[in-house]
Amino acid sequence: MQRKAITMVFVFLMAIGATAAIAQAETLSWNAVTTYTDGTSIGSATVTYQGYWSTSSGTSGLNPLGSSGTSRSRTFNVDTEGMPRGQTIYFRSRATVAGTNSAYSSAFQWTVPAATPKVPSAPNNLQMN
Amino acid sequence: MNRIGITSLVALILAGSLILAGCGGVSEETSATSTPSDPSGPASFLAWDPPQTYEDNTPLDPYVDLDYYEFYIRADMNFSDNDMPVAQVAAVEDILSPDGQRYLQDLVTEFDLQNLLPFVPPGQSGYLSIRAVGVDGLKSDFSQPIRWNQVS
Repeated sequence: MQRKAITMVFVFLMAIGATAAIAQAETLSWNAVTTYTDGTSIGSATVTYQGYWSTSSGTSGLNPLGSSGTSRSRTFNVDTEGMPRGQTIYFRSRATVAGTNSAYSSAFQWTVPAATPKVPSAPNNLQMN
Repeated sequence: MNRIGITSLVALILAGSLILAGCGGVSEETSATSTPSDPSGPASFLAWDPPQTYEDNTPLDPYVDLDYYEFYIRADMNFSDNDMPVAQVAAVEDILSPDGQRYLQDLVTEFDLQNLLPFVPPGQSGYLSIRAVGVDGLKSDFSQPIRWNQVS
């Protein structure tokens, strides 16, 4: 059976509400891949996806975002991923069907939010000696 | 603990910062309202425990995340953002290692009250409070005030 190329279409980033002030969760999502590059349907074949991020707009230096899976989104934490605060990064995604990888999607540009300064708690147990 | 001498003090001589009777606003958002401690005997040092967390309860490393402490004096307990610090001291100091070959970082947790005498009229008492200032410049709330009788 001849393998067909796969096309990734859209990648977009959606911020979801933070559940705590401690860590802001972000979610990268993309559209489902349903056809091969020749327009024929993928049908019921399993499509897995892998998200990536990079400080480069090209396809070099791509850092995997989570692991490969059938979900069309990846939720991540900026600091856990080591993304540079206040700088521009680029997201891409890639689909795989039956061992065949698609080309990388076009890059989605995003500015990593700058770190928010935090207020120390007050000193305690103030006493005179 | 390390005794912080006058030489390590960075005093802020802020004219007018200490007007014990009624200085500063009472109703600012960071007013300290808890019951103060009242030491029973002569005291020469003010001591405290450095904060270990940020206000959002995330961990804070006082060796890395704190810049300095500010010292405040008022005639009452109503410390507010309108008050000006009378002194400040670094949150971390370098001390000589036991072998004298290198310096070690040590948390500053005491302050010589003699350094604050110029800000309290002789024979009067006042309240002390301190704030921690992070490396980002953000200040903590006021610590629980403590009463200081300068004549003791």
